[in-house]
Order: sequence, then structure tokens, then C-alpha cells
Amino acid sequence: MNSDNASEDNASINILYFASLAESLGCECESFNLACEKVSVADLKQQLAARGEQWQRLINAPSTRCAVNQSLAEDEQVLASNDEVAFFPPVTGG
Amino acid sequence: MSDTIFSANEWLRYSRHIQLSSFGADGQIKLKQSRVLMIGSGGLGAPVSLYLAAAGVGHITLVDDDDVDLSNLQRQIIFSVEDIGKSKVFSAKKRLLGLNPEIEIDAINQYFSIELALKLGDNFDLVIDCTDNFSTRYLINDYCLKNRLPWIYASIHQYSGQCALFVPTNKHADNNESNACFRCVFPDAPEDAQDCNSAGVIGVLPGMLGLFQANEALKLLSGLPTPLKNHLMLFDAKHLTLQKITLKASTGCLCQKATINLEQSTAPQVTCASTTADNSLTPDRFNLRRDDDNTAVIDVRSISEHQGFHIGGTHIPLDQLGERADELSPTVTHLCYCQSGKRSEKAVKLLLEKGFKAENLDGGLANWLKHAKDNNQI
Ligand SMILES: [Zn+2]
Repeated sequence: MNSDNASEDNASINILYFASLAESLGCECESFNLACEKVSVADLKQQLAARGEQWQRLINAPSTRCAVNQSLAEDEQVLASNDEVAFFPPVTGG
Repeated sequence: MSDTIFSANEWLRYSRHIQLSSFGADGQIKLKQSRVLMIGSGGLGAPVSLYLAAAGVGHITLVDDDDVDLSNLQRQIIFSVEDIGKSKVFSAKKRLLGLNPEIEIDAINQYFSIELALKLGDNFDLVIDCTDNFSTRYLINDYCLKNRLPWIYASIHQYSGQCALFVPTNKHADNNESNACFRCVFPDAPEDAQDCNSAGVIGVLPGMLGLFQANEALKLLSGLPTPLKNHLMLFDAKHLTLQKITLKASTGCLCQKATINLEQSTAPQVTCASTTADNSLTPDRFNLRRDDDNTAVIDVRSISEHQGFHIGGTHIPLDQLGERADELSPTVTHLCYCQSGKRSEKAVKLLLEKGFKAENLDGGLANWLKHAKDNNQI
């Protein structure tokens, strides 16, 4: 899924979705263009949540965690071009 | 001969470890002197305990209050058909001592509660989380924080698994090390808890995640590097992808507090959704109701599920129920069933909206079969 027209001027990031998120959102990974500078994890979540009810529910779930470049990230973290953002839910079975 | 740590039999048994570079006799002695607490003897517990016992971990304590069920054997390879209906920990102990009589196994046929956690104390080198639910993991976390015990977390869902090694920071140590805990990673439990055995899991997945746990455990106990410390591994068995996320301690987390009060340990609430509505039927009630003249049974599962196994009734898949409702009698009560009770619950809702009378087999075919098995009806 590609949200905006790919443009060389825009910084793009890679987003990965894990486990039940990938399944429920029907998306395992995507390239995403950051529309402006200083986009934080919170801003990204807001943009993804705007895609629909399912996105809003899962991306904004308090239990959904986010990692940027394989490090656990909080909402305030600002994203840079070529960052790899991963969203993952807690998994509960055993 | 009697002044040696190992007997001749043990030395022969562990020779592949003793000859292994960076493991050797040192590593094997450390394993023999280790005490491991394993919480949960199910899907993860089976491979972890089999490999730890085979490897020669000297003392293993198993905690689980569950009994072996036929549906466990799809993945819990430590058990056999003759264990069905018996305690998991006692069956596992027998099997593990059969595999390696040189070690000691404590089997505690209890649920891991705050009371048990307090009673168990801190006389362990490592705790391994092989539970199947989120709330117990928060208690394991707090128990390990309080007693400063390292613990290995793993959990599985469908085709995905997670694994991490949490090592509580020694607050009295001089170094400024601050390790993450489970609450740092997951301060909030998921709302739609899928730890109610309803979601399904591919049978090899607990084996794979359990072996990641066992691998990390054997390295930690024998003094080898443990790169999973402060990392969360995300594994996908469908696409064979593996990611290691670096964790850091979260300010304000319980693990940053000076003292941990285990008596006050609570998990963010996780509840299993179950239907308690008037139109929900237990297996017994379903069996009585289906013999009534004014009822009809509908299987709302897919064609392959119906072909695979059914307990009678008309077959109308849930996604066709709306358009095929005119085939149904408006006077009888339709008793709907599916595999887990979730699709049939939707079917009942749809039929009620359309003015039909409908009731749901609670817990679905899975629950019905378990009930029938327990009562020797199948
Ligand atoms: Zn913490």
C-alpha cells in the first residue's frame, strides 16, 4: 500500500506490521512518504489511523508497540528518511 | 571414582557437551548445579523441559495446574495418549525422568499465583515463562524483579512468536546498567485477549519458540553470551522472518522502583469474551435441545470444515446465511454451531435480526467434543 505519490523530494520510510496486526490490516510492509519534516511516531500513527476504523483501532491500541530501526520507540520520536518503523502487538499464547 | 562431580554414566551421557568448544566440562558442571523454575507445562513447556532435562540441568521445578487434553497432543509432544486426563506436571515429570534419571524434577500441580510465588522464594538461577496467558506473565515479571532472577519470556499466536530475556538490574551494583522488564515493553495488555485457546496455533511454533528459550537458557546457565538480553525477538513462521528489537528501561516503570511488593502485583485486566446471553447453549443443553421437535441444527462453518467433521444439521456457511435465510423454517429454533462458537454467535445475531428463533452452541464444536470426550461419549 502506498499512501502518496512517490516523489524524490519526499523522505520515505519503511513500515512493517507484525503478527495479528499484519493479518487484521491486510498489510505486512509498505513504503510511506513523510509529507513534511519533523514527523514523529505520534504523527505517523495519526496518519495511519485516518485510513479507517480498523487502522484507527489497531494502531492506536495502547498495547500496540512501535520500534524504529529495531529499537523500541515512544510517540515523541522524530522519524528520518529511510527509517524502518515496525508496529507489533503483544502475543499472548503458549 | 566417588570424588568426581559426575558419574561415569553422566560423563558418557554429556560427552557431546563436554567436547563442545566454549562449553566443555565447565559448562556441564554449571548446568548440573543449576536450578530452573519453569512456569507452564504446555506448548512451550514441552520442548523447553525436554531439552533442559536432556542437557542435564540439575534441578527443574515444573508449575502448572492443567490436565492433559487430546487437543494438546497436536503440539505438546512431551505427552502421550495415556496421559490424557492426568496432571501435566506429573506426566511431564515421569517422561523427563525417563529421558534423564540423573536430574531432579519437582512437580507442582498448582496455578502460579501470588501465594505460590511468595512460597517458592528465590532459590533459582533462572525462570522460564511457558504460560499461555498475559496476566501470569506480569506476575512472573514482578516475582523476578523482586527476587532479581533472570527470566525468559516467549509467547505464540497462530504463526507468530515473541521471545525475550529479561535480567533485573542489580540496584546495589556499581555499574549504571538499567535493563528493561516486561512491563517496560508491554505496559498495557491487549484489549481483545486471544489467549483463550480460540485463535489456533501451528503445532511447530511452540517448538520453535521453546527451543529459542532453551537455547538462551542453556547459554545463560553455562556462562555463554546471551544476546537476547534487553532484546525482543519477533519471529514469523509463515514468512520465516526474524527481528530483534532493542529494549530500554522505561522511566516510571515498576522495575525502576526501589522495592517491589509482590502482594500488590496486578496485571492490566485481560478478560476472555464469552457469551452468557440467554440464547447460548452448553454442550449438554445443546444435546437436549436438538432432540426437541421444534429445533433444527445449522453448521455455519466452511465447506472444508464441514467435510472434515460435523455433528449433523444443515450446512450453511456464515457468509451465505443472509442470502439463504429463506431456506429456513420461521417456526423452529435454529441451533447454530461452528468451531469455536464465534461465527455461530454472529449467525445467531443475524438470524435474530431477521426475525428467526436461534440459539448458539457456546464454545463451538471444540467445546462440544471436549465435553463428549470427558464424558466418554466419543
Ligand atoms: Zn520495567
